[in-house]
Amino acid sequence: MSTGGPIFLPKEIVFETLSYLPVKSLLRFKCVCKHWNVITQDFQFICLHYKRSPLIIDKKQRPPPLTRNDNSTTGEDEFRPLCSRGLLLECSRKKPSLRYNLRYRIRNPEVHHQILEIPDSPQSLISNMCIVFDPDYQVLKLLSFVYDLSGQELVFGYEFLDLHNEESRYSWRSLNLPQGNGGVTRNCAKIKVFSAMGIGYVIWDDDATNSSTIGIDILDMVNDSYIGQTSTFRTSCNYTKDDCILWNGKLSFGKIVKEELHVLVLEVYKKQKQIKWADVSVIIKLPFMRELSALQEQIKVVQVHESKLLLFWWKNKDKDNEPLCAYDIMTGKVKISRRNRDFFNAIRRPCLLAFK
Amino acid sequence: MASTTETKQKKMLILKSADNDEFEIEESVGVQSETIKNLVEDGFTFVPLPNVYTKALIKIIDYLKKHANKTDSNDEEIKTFDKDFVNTTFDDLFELVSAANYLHISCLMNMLCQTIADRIKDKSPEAVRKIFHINCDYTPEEEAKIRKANAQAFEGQFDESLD
Repeated sequence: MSTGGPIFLPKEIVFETLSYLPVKSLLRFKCVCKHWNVITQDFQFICLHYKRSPLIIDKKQRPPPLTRNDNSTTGEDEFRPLCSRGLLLECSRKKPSLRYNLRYRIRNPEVHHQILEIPDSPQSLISNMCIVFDPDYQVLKLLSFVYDLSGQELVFGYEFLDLHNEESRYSWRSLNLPQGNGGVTRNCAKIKVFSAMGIGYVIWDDDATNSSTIGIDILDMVNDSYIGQTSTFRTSCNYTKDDCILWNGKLSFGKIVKEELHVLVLEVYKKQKQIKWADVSVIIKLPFMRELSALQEQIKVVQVHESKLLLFWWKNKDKDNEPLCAYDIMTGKVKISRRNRDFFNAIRRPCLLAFK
Repeated sequence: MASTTETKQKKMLILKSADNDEFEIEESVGVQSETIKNLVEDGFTFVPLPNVYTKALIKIIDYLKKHANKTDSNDEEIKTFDKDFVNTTFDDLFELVSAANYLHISCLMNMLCQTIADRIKDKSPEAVRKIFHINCDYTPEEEAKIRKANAQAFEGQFDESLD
């Protein structure tokens, strides 16, 4: 244009532009110059890139296998996928007879040769874990559900492990649960975790009080601290774990009632450590429900984005043919695509993180 | 309420490019740029843009006018416009993206960054260096080491063209 000479892009624009590239291109462009190599290792960049990565749906449920021979796994169970958030968490049983004696590892399906073996916790028994990746808050951690071995009784607790840290020190830190809270047993196999806006929501069946109620632990994922606890006792409706959705980044119960979606939002005030269920449900009219009325009870709400896009699906006899629908609340348009049976296991968002 | 929006729409702004050309646009078109919006809120109606040259500014004003009149029905029309808008040389895209960045027009910024990324994603590092006017600052040994560590990213053929 008018300047004539070559145009050198400022650093912040290079940063933005590169965040739209696929992982393979970024790995190749590390050798363009030192500055580009530094960008690809910057955690802020990795988070931005992850946010912008398009979702990939693997045709086969399993991610690409490792290419090299991994002798360390000989004689043990195969590793199976447990959780996928950019990175893939896998576990394998050391000895099939021991219920809790599992080995965990993390790898990035985009960067084949790297595996991070997850260490055991020195003070407790890990019963299950998941990846929490909240790119807006630059949180990338493992959250584990553990039993403290030090006392006479098994005491439930949480531990964290940073998957991104400058020193490459991968070790567990325990979270201090307030007195009395650890007493309630959480069924670790059935725990469901949501995370958004720097907050983690751990949802479990509260077997001790009543089989139909669920408990929710609210964790500050940025500072590894406990914010508080709530349960469906505090609400008047019979919500289940399956009704939990993220409503604009907040944990909520979503239920379809006739031609409306009723959303009960949980407000969390991090600083004050206050948790409050909204007094009234947000109600969204769903005019398209008239056409789907026969199926209403089976409809499952998945997520609502920015108050405008509602994702839902319903069960079908033909499991490979279940619809996944996106309803645009503003324009009233409904888009329907097929929901693969393994949809949520097979879906992944490529990430650039590499272990040092 | 209706009357205030009407008077607002009639308000005009003058934008002055780096090569001293002046353009008159409606305020409602201009305020899609955060930079211009902040100036308008401070009461300015004359906006000098020392970092944006006339040629880029003409294109950007076109873009802003098109996107200011976004409705449900002209969705396809805007898509076609956007496609034509980014169909240009890398150096033009770089100038536009710098201008969009300076003017803080986030939707345009995202579209341009996405376009540049799409156009370089299959290219070789050598082609990318030429396109971005970057001098390689690695020693041959350092570069060989990085290539070896990321060998899987170098499998296959890459686009060597510079457009």
